Amino acid sequence: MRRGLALLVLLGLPALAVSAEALFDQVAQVLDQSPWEARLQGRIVTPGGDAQEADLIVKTLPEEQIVRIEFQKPDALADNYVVITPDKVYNYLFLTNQVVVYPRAKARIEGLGFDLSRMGDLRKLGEEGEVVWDAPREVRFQKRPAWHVVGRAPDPDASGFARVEVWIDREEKRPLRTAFYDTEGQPLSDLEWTAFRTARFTADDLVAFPPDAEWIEKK
Amino acid sequence: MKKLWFSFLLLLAPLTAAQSLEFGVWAGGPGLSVGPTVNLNLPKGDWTFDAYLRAYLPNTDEISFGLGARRAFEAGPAGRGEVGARGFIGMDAHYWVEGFGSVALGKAALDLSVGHTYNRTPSHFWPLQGETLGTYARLDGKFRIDRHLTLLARGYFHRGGGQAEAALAWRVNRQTFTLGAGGVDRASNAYAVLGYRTPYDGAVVEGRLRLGTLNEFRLDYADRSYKAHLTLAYPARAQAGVAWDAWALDAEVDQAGYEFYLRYTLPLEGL
Repeated sequence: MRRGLALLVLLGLPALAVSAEALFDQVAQVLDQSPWEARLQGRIVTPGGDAQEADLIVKTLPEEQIVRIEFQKPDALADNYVVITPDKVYNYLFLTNQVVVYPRAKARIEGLGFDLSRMGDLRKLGEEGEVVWDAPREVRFQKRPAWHVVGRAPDPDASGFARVEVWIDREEKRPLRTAFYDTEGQPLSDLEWTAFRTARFTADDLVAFPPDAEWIEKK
Repeated sequence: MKKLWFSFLLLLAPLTAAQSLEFGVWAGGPGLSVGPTVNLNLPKGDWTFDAYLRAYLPNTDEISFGLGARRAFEAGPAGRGEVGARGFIGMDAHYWVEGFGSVALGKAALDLSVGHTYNRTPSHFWPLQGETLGTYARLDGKFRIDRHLTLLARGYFHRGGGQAEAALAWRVNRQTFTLGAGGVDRASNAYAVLGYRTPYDGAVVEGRLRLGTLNEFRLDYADRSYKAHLTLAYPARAQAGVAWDAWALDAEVDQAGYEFYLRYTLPLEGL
């Protein structure tokens, strides 16, 4: 009887296991269903190699594929923001009150060691072959039941990172923490997703700048 | 005749790649002089090239040509810079050359321009050139002490004098208060600087007052459609400007005369 039960459990396990792709599909479904806002706090490494405290507010309008990233920390970036739309990227510099506009294809959101715009789209990283994901493992993250998924970049030079680790809330199917590492295992960014909430943004709310800002259009 | 057409087409070739072409009408006094202006703007990656032309009537000796080039540098969400040079020469051998550079990196921003003008008629509006004869330098700096306090400094030095100013901008919620002091030529020629900037019903309004040796009040207004400014100064000088869509209009009256400049920017993308 005991042997039979063990066999049943073994046979049943594959049915319960979740692949990283299926998990990211569920996360994408949650993140794509309505506008949302989250605070990302942790550390990022600048291209100069300095680790800095990071505090970002991310606002998205999935229907129109608009993302707005407002910088609270580090101090050098405070009050700057980046708005990513399907065809353009807007970079607002608070100190000079300038908006620099790039075509999306040529946009360079550099300066943080990696491209922030790709951070939320974990599914796409796998689809494009940029990351090979391991099977998710069940863990607890700050007392919450979570999935822990590790991905490796086959071409770290092209990706800008070698390894990525993601913790996903098992009940709410949203990211709790994302960490990107370089080839030496040093963190490029390690951010916890806090204060996640759905919101009622419009495109005008997110693609908004001070009316007296100077506009610089890059071709 | 064919040769003439070929030359004409060669002259027009840069237009096919230009980003914009600005047409303007400049007028000034005393008396009445009118100068149609053309400014061709040609961006090429990080480079931007400019060509300027101002006809001048009735005194055609004052016709001027100008060329400029600048290169932009990007350094992530908190950094950008630009270096460039431009120069103008007139039919009466007046000339003006200027080199300029700006950098914004993290908590600091700096703007510097150095130039030299020779034997030319001062003009504030075409194309916003140096206002004195001889060598001059302008410096503007900003440093963010923290999220609420920003240190502002500016200097303008030219043959025969100079002006220096320092101020502290204090941001409270979405309003900014500015307090500072400056001096003209020497420290005893001092003036105070007071400023206030606030959002108002979808717009931004900013007022700045300089009081003392220099007496000047400037008001700026900007909303999604219009940007406007008004400056009133003593000794008597008034300047006003408004920009909307592709149009811009500037006017100035002082004791020496008046200037007026209307321009329209035609985007050429896709030609």
